[in-house]
Amino acid sequence: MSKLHSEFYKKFKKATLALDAAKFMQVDSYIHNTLRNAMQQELPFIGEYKLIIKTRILREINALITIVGIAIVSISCFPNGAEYIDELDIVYTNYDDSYNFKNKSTFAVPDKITKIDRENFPDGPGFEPESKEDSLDTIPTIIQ
Amino acid sequence: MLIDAYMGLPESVPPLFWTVDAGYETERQALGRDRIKIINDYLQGYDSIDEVEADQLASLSMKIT
Repeated sequence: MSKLHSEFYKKFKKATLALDAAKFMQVDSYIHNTLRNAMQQELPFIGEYKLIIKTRILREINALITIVGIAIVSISCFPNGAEYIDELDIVYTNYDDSYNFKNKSTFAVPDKITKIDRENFPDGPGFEPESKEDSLDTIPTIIQ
Repeated sequence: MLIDAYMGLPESVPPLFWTVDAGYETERQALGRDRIKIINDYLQGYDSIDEVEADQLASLSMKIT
């Protein structure tokens, strides 16, 4: 465009006055520079669009992590949720009311977990072993 | 038209002025078409622009600047 202006400025000047030629070039430059600037603002820079996509994906991942984090915290802090392990797992106890625990200074914990199935509990739901010997694989280990 | 109105040239302006103006407008429009083609090529190949394409587009852009 500057070459065109340079070439035609001389021609305009010959055809009329230098003042009119300068006036023409000035307003013509103003109009076309304004239009070019408007177009330029709409064009993405090289690589800009990929950067925008990357930034957007990162934002979405961060938002997702935040939402999941809030959900986990909300569920874990829910006032009516499970507060003790026996609210989450099935716990079987066979408490003997007549046993005098005061005579003992040791306690025992089982070293195995009994799987509740037909093999270990052949009578199915409702089966209640009366002593620990009835429950398979629950031989306690005495800890001194 | 806009420029004509702005210029406010008298009716006595030499006919040669309008001849030069017409020649200028023809060449300016050709440059405008070239610029639009460069922009179009740039946008169409934007996702996969490589070394060669970038060089061609930059060189063409500078030619018509």
